Amino acid sequence: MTLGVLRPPGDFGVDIAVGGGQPLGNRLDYGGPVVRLLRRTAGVPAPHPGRHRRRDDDADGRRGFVLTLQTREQHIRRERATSNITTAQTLNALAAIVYLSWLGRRGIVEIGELMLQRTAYARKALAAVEGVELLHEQPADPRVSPSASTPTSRRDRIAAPNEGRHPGYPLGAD
Amino acid sequence: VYAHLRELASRNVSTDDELSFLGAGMYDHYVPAIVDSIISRSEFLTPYTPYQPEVSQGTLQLMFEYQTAISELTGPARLERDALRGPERARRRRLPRLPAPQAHALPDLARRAPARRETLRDDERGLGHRGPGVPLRDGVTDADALPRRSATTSRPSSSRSRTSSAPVEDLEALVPRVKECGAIAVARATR
Repeated sequence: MTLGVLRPPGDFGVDIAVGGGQPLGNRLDYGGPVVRLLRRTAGVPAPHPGRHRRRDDDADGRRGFVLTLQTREQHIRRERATSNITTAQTLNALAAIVYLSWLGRRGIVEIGELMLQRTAYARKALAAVEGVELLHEQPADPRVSPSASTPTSRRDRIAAPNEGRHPGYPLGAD
Repeated sequence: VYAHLRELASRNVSTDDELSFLGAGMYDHYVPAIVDSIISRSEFLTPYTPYQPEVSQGTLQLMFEYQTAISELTGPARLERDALRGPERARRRRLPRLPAPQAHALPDLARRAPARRETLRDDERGLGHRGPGVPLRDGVTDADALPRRSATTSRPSSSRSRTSSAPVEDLEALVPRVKECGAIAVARATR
């Protein structure tokens, strides 16, 4: 989501960009399935099996879409393949593209800005709470984890599920 | 039977009832109604692999549109939909870049989610990898701690990894340093 606000990683010469697609119109659904995104710069060797679709014209000049590249071991190496892809996240990808189309080019920027503003606000409010310490002062994307590991917060963590709250993974434990 | 099953189902608690931050990257986001109304159409809900383009134009076009949108968000060039999930995906993405055992500039495992950390640690043990990974300084990757390219080591592999606290990294400064090591630069958008 923050990619609507940040300069794209490809601008910096990054070879591979990865990310999660769950915020893009996908529900939790018992922990999955979700779609992930992976963009590879042309020329960087593919570290994984995958497929490509391209737009092309047929003999009569009509627009069409085709699978142009399939680096799937089960096709190429057959019985010597060490991987076999059977599941598809196409439906999740469809949810993502419907969501992105619904947002539009301006919407993705607006939602990115909104999330960054709210993150900054939440950070400020949390830092004011006694026993909560910020891990760093860097600009952060919306995934903020409070680092509280005081006895109070540990007690609170144990009691929380009974009160309908489920705090995230305690970073203090690492 | 229906009443019994409904009673069993009603014992479940969902994110509609309670507040959860347990997702480790997956959370309860707003999903506009248009998403369900389109993805529940049978031609999208029950398609087979689009091997025959003459009967698969819709499926192929939606994936093409997806490739294009993500490609625009992440920068120029190509994109692939990842067919793997979770810890397995983390392993596949990392494994091919693992070089000979003497080179180590792997991201600090302490920064990965617990399930992924275990998967990656197992792989590294099997491959004889040791090394603390690139440490953080003030919450972001310490560029000065990246290894120098050396004539005696094989191609070092180094990659960026999501830190648990998800800071925005200064790619402009980091990417040239990573490439200096002869490694592939991988950026990750956590949200």
